[in-house]
Amino acid sequence: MTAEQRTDRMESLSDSAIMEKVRDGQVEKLAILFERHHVKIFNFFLRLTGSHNLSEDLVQDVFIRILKYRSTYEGKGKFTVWMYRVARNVHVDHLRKNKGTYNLEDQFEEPESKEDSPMHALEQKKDKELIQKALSQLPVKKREALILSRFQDMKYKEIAELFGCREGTIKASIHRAVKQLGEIYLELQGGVPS
Amino acid sequence: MTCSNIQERFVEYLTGQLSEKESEEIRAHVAECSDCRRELESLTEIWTKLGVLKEERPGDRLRTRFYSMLETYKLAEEEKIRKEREGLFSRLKNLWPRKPVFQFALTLGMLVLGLVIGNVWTVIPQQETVNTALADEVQTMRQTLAASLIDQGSASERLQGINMSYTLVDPDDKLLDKLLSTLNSDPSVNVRLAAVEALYLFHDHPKVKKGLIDSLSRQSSPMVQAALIDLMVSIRERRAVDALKSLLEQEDLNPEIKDRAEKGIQRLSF
Amino acid sequence: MKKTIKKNIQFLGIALVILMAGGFLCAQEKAADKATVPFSNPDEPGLVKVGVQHGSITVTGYNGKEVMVEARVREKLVTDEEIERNEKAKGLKLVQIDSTGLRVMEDENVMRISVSSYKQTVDISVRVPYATSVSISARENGDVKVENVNGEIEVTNHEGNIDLTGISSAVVAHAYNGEIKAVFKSVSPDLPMSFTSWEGDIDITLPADTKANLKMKSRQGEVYTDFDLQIVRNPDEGFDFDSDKLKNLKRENLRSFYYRTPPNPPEVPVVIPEKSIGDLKVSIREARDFVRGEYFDIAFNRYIYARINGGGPVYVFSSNEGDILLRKAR
Repeated sequence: MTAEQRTDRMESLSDSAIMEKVRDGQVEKLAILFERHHVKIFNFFLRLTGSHNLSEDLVQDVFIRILKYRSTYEGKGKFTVWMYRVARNVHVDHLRKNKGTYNLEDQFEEPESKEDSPMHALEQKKDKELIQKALSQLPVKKREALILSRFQDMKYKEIAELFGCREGTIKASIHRAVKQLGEIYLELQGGVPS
Repeated sequence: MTCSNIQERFVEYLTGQLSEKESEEIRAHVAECSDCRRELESLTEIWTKLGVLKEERPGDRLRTRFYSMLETYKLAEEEKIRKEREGLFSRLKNLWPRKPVFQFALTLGMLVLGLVIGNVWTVIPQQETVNTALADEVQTMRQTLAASLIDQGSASERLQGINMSYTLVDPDDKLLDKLLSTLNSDPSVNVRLAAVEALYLFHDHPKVKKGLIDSLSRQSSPMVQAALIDLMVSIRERRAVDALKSLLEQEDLNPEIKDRAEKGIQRLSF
Repeated sequence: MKKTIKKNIQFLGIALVILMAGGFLCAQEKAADKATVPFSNPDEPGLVKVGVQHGSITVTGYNGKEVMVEARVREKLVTDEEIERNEKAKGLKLVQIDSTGLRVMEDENVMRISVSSYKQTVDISVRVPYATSVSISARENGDVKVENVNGEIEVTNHEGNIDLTGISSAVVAHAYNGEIKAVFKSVSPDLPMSFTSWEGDIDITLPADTKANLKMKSRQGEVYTDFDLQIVRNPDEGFDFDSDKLKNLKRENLRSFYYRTPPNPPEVPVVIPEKSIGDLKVSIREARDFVRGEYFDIAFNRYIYARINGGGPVYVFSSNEGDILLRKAR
């Protein structure tokens, strides 16, 4: 095989192309999508729920569902938008099963950290807990939309497609979400919302 | 530009999705309008604050679970296909089919494996394997993934596939062949270099040894040539001497490589 | 399945748009050949491959969906053969097409850009959507520059330098004569990277909280860094012994280095920097190298193995003559 032939073979492995192969029978190729995306999805759930363990479970659920419903993949548009749709469904189903809350014990647990905590790291930890807590008090949809735009590099058009609404609506919603988050955060800190 | 027009675009401004021209408009307005400025500042404050939620890594257990699940699913699908092929008659014959029992053991094995080993990426020590069948399945899965990445991935993903081969205790010939062919024909110098280093681990295989020696004459990049020469000397492979001698006869050989090849021949000839 | 067939018919593997920008300018001001080409599926990140034999390549990310290419001839390379030919044809006018030979081919989100650059030096400038991955190859007479691209980057430059800024995914780069300089905005949490050079320095700036496993070596140069390295004992130690048990032990060590979060707490090194250059400490070549005696200068695996921030994917830095500088972003 010449170098040129080799590179040709290596090209068209976009996410969509791989998922189509999974849909059509080569299920082991899902592993490539797992390696490419699982960290991002994990962090999506982590910011939504604040729990490391729960987020791992939810990631697993996402991939189980992708396998289960692989025949419904149409290859229209961006793969990641479809993937986040599955992720949102997993999230919503979890909330439904747990009556709209997360298990309090799971929240805010820290993964084993091997490093020492100097002063400013402790402060950062407190900040992190506070922001996470404030975030978890935002209504679900607003929280999801905010996280998708702030952290998951999703364009507003894609988020709108994901939520099934207009782009303008999503932008306004995220704007309000940020403001609301600010107010909740202030309250938690002990101040009075303006 | 009304204030509400400007404020509508604040979130896009924060995510950097506005063109330079539009961003300039916003900045200009905000410089003049204190209401809008306050609004933007308070939004920016929280937006920035969210940055403390840094990206984290999940535990390795997540990977283990995924691969076990994928393997089970794959086996189940294959079983389904196999079953569909058998006629009704043969299905009646199998009152106690073997596979479902195996699958049950597989599920049980997953739980146990999870408890005992907890990390699919550590090398599974031969003596401690709880469920050898499962360990083999996971190993096969890893090999398949490594091979896929090497075949079809971007340069970084090919590196990932090669790195994965470090965890395989006893890779099959197919994977070793793949590493050798990567060494000989991958378009990226970095990937070829990584292949040399990975093959180092398996140099005991006669096929690998021969492949490494043969590869010497096929390399044009001094970086890879140097790595191969160093490897030969390091493992004291005397059979490489002939290949090194042929290398010296190449036109346009990098002078430093020439020097190292000569030194290599000296050291190997004792 | 049906959709793919339809796409193929639509594009037939080639989407070619070339506009000649005025061929009547005087010789000094070479005209630029331009092309603007969309990806088959503009919603998915694409891959742009661009290569040049003589010349430079600059790739810049921008907020748009199409790939915009501009190519310009810098100068023609006159060979001895041509000087002879010119002598032969004295008095006659040379009939020639003065163009870069720019060709752009797109197929299923992979775009290939090429020019005629064997007998002339061509400078190529490409603007790509931020999320694009790029694969770049240059040989002589020019540098490669990439700015603000969020996809994966693969670069080779034989003679010139490689300069990457504002990047945020994985890089696999090789320079022969030139230097590699890269400043990362952020890194991919999972993907390995590799930077290799024969002569030039390798100067990389990473975010201070980057988690990675580092393999660093320069045969004739030095390794400098201001990261706190947790140096791992060279997994190759003790390999000179033929005992199978020790060989296996070494293999275990190498394996565990390749697999990210170490199963046991990482070994704490005792390495004291010898000297500083400004803010960068010097990492030591471990003292035992000197003890090794005759195997000292042919040690296959003489990398410094280290973890930063607990460890992560493996980043390789390897140079023959150049220095390796690994900086923390401030």
